[in-house]
Amino acid sequence: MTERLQPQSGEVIDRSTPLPFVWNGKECTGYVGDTIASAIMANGHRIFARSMKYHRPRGLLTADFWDPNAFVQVDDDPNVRSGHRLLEVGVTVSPQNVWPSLDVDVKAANQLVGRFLSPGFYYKTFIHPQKLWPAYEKVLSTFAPGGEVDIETPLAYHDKRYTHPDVVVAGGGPAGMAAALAAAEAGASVLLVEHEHGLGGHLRWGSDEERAVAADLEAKVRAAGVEVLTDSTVTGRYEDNWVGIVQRSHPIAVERLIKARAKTLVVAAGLIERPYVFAGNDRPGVMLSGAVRRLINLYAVKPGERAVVFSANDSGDASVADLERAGVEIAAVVDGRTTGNVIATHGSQKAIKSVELSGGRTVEADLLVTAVGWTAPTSLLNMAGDRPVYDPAVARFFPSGTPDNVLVTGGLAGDGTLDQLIEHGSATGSLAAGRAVAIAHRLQAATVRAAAVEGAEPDLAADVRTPLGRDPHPELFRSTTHGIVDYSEDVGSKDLVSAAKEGYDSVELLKRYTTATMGPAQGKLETVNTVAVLAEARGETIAEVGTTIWRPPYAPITLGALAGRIFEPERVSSIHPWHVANGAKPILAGQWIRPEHYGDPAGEVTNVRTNVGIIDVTPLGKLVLDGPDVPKLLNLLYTNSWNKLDVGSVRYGLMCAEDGVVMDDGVTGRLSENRWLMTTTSSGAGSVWEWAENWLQTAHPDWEVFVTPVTTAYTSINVAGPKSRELMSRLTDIDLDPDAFGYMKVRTGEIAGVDDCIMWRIGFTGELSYELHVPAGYGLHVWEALLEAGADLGVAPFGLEAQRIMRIEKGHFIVGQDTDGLTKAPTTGLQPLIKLDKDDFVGKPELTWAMEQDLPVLVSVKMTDKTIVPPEASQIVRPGTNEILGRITSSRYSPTLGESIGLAQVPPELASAGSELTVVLTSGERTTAVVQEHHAHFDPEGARLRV
Amino acid sequence: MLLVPCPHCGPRNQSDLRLVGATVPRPDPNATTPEEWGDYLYLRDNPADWIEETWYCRAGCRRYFTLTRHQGTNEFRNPPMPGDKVGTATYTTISVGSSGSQPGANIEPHTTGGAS
Amino acid sequence: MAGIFRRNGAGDAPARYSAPQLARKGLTGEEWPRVWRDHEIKPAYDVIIIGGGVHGLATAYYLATNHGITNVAVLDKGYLGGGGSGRNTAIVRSNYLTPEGVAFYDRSLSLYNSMAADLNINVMFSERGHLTLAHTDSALRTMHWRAEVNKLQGIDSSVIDPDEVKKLAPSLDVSTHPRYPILGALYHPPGGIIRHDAVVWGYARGADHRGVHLHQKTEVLDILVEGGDGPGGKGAGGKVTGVRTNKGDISAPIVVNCTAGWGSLISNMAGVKLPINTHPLEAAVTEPVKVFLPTVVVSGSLHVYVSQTDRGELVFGASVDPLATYSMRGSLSFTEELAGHILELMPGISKMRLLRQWAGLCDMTPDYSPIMGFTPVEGHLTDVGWGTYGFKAGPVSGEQMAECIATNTTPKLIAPFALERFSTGQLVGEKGAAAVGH
Repeated sequence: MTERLQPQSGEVIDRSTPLPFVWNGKECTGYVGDTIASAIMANGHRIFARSMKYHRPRGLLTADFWDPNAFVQVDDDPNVRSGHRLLEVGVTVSPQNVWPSLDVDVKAANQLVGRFLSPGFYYKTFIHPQKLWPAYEKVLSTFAPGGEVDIETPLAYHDKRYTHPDVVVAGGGPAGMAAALAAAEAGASVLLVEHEHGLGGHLRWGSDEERAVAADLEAKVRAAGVEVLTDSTVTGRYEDNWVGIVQRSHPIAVERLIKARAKTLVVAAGLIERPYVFAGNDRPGVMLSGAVRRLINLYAVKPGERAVVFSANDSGDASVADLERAGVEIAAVVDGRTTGNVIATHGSQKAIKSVELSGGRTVEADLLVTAVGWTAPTSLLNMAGDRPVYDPAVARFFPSGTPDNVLVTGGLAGDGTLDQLIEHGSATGSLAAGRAVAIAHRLQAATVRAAAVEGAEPDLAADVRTPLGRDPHPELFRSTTHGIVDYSEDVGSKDLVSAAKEGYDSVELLKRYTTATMGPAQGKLETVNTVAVLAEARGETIAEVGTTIWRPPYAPITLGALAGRIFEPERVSSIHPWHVANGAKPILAGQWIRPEHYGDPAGEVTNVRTNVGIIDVTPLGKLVLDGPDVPKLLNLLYTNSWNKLDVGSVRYGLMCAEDGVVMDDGVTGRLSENRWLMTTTSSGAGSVWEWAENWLQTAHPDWEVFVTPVTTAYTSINVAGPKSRELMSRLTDIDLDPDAFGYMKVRTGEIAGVDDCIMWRIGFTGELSYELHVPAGYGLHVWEALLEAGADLGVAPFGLEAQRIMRIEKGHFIVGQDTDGLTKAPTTGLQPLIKLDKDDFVGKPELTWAMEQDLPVLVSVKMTDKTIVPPEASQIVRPGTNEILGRITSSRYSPTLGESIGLAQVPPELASAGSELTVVLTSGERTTAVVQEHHAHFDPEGARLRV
Repeated sequence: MLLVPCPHCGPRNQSDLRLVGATVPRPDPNATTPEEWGDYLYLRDNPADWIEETWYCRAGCRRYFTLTRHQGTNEFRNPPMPGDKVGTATYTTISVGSSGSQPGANIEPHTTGGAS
Repeated sequence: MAGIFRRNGAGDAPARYSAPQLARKGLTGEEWPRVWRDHEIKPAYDVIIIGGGVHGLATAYYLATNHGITNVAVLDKGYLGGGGSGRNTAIVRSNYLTPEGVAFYDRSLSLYNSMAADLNINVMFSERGHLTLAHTDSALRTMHWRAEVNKLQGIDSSVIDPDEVKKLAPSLDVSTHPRYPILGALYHPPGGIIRHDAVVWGYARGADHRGVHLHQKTEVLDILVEGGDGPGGKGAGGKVTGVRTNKGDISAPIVVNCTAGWGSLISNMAGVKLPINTHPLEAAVTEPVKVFLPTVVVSGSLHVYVSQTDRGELVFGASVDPLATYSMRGSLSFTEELAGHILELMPGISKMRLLRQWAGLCDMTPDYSPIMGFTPVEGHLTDVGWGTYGFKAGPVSGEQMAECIATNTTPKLIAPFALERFSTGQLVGEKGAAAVGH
């Protein structure tokens, strides 16, 4: 059965290109230009879905993007709006929300119990026993509406675009096109965004004359250089005219998010036709006038055989003519502007057989067309701060006031003849362009470097547009019977009335209680009827009841489009390719990918302790500090003193925040009189830089210090082990004699033929070691030179894990692991580094008090059972109880000592050497640990690193 | 996406900057009391009104500066010119959002602004 | 103090909600009685509670139920549950980091567990399990920390490996190639989601039927205080005498601030300054699809949490906006970051569509913990500063605040949350707990 009409003068289908597809398991054919819905209708199918709660059969209602009855699954794409999505060849289209099938749906039995499914049904039952709710919930969740997500769906290519047009016009109807044209002619750059597949708005399905006007306007718009996006929607207007646009028509990306910083935004979104509430208003065959006009004029689809038209406006009147031309018999035309009314439809579940009219008349028909008025989709205006006001004479809301950079035209602003609408649009476009000039000037002048902007700021053009009129329209929301208000949520006017009587009688409470307006159309079809029914129930006016605030986005956006390409940076050092080639196991540390080990971390430890090892420590944060006042800055940021650090020496520093909590630590060396190199923890590199700048710029702008971040300008390599001096001597002329270059000293010079290297002697691993900072371009070269030159010394790389083991063997803490968000400096045991006699430093008052307080103490521990390594974060409890006293902050098996060691935060009374700690393991079993005298388990005197 | 009027770079997307917090004077560290210091650390004006606050242009000029913003409408008033006074040192313990650049943000149980 | 409290005349017995009642009303067409009643505002009450969200309503409910104090008014400038109570993502859990936090939220969870029976309304508590993902070694360590603390408190909580994560939430990508690989997760089976509106309505209905007056669209313009050492007799040492509203003055010796988003502004009216900054917290929801995500999934590193309602929508939340503001306009960047992060975790859902976004206001304190109990102004109490955790704490906060008011002493469970802690430096250890979040 085909319902395709003879060619229509305004049709948008290409009859020369048929497209086979499958609907509901049946082979069908449509044409290029068809929407999925028009193609399904053309193939003689009228049932599109089952409703959410009662599983009632549903047919097309609005035949556009907002049609609540036309959601389908297209291949792996759920919730496709078949009234909007264009048909593509070979797609498999399935109905949603049906079980087991569209034609026979078992859940339709819900209708039989519909009288019990009152609003708030779920709140009032399944209460006892609460333990059974999960079981009910499991069953109920199978009633969830919507399509199915295939979680294996591949992530397709998405992209985003930024644009900075002078004017964005939302809506490409006659007023929007006229606005775009006028703005462009005034010299503005203009982006015109149209939700539908073509420009023209309601003219697209209008008369030949109307379409000619649209075509003429479109030609001018395109000739004027306006950028036109169709099948795209302005989804949101955010602060400072940051405009979100979803482009569904991008040739490559599935959907593209466009972010426009518009100087002015023109909202010409038009009006959305509103359904009418009466008994049987969701029976297939009830359609809005816009739906039948689209079906006939754009897609040449015959919507029915015998129609009743209930018309209260031009659109309804025009649909009568369209229907007649399409060969649909007009059984009756009921005029809503007089006393005519529709009471009910009657028929089967799946089709109308007759329509009951006011005055007791019943007319046989299979199609009922309603044209009862318009909803103003004020979403973008709401987002701009506008609170639209209801006008009962016109039966819709109008804007009450928008910011200077948001202008309204078209149906949202008022009514008029086509010429008047175009004239208003044109005036709006000129105004938008004029304001854009003033706003551009203001923005540019706000930038001092560009202050050369010519002339004084132009006055913001005044709004001297002739306002559009308002055509009277009857208030037609609900007939004398009850019907569906929210089709997607299956909420009826009766439900709303009873919920209001129950006390949910403000629009927000009503919405939450009944879920009316919460569905996929987000109230575009339902809000005004909901408010009207509530007003009626309360005996108030719509203005008194008020309306809900429409939330963004205006139209839904796929998560893929919102995400775009995902830019999550990863950082690697210049030696990374070597690590990969040599079997390093990668580990993610902040943004950095680092070698955790090269196969045998314990062996790497032993090699460092006996021969020499090298580790890539490039992520170490590095800042070059220049200027005569660097010691002042260091004295301020660190708790210890920096007055007497000679050129050529380095010192460890501990950094706290103003609340005394440990923030960072690291080594800083004085390279020359006025140049210093500061190192920070890897994760602190960025924040310490900002911290230093904050103090310099806000508290001490008079200090002469210049901070340059150089973390990735240098590749950093630690050369550690008893044979490290021998190894380094083969690659540098720097005098390595312990008397010439002692522990905690720094030298600069040439290493492996590379100039401008920095080398200092420190000892995180506890061995004689040299930390090299070499220009990053030569990092890999120096690394390879070290391996080559030290082959006979047993040189081998070591990774993060070996370093962690060695630092625990040495009792060094790591900020953020052994300390936490409340750990103040004295806990670390570094009291000698807290110089309270300094005039000032960050956190000084707090640390002065903290020194007197009983704070937790960081101690080194050994397990009584040498083989048990308690996981880090294992809790320390009072014996025989679950009272938490502290925790193991770090733990490893030490290959050097052959036993399990760690660090722990404990209360002061358990901090003395020999104290026994009860440690709870993951299994719940308890073991004991013993507090050690020194932080360092290995070489506590530090003899090995001072050689 | 708010436009923040950086005095050096001009209006920039909010994501280019970091709000450090309301400006507060730092008490004399050698003469302060725990109460006064506690107020300095934790107490900030929070009106639905104009407020002076420090911003940091982290993706642009890397300068700290003071702006006056309305906490109800997010409107900025009288953007400063370079050379105008900048905020006194400010300290914000509330590490919020995903900026991740709050001092101490690397300290583990302090890494994310809370959420539900 | 208890002597000053009077009972309001209790209303008619509430209509019981039950299946037989539903059936009867379905058959007879009889209407349900009003869920709560409208009253004239009385010139004086014993207790005025500002804020008709879950905290204010629960406080009123427990004052009436546990302490027989019913001459109580709850004032809300909008409608009941229109603030944070109606804007949150309704996740409840008790797997916090410190023993104090665990004890507090565990009490809340147990009140949620018995709520349906206590309030005779189905709050649809779905105990579906709560997963907090770890993407780094350090995050995994924190998960272990929380699990160990939880276990010692008798809370069901453990760290599970990626394979187990995959079994619980098949849509998660547990392979090693994502930028944020899933190394494991903290699994908390008793955590779940609840119908937030039902909690609000349940407490409102319960309070109403015990005689509490609920006044919607009643905005407090000032708190009346005399004898204080600040301007206008407000501030420390003062004594509350009532409130000024858009509908006139109301006397009361006790005025409790149970607001969120406006917490510091309200207490400022009494001359009490609170260490609060107000930040928006945004959330969003997708179109419904058939249920595929059975648990609550949280990623602290990616600042995202997600659950799927019985209606099939995915409900997303994130961390608070960095901009301190009272503006509740949603932002585009929030949805962009959210989508990017969620697709990092579940790449298969890229064709799902975001339907609606909204924002609420969070009062953030320096240690992510609330400010509860007495203030330097006699008769002015606060239950504010909940940051992003207010909803889950609603029942226990109401219970404890009611006890605080009725006994005029601070209950042990809320003692750590006193306002004084900010001048004595005794910040709550939940600074850590809250920070690892969700």
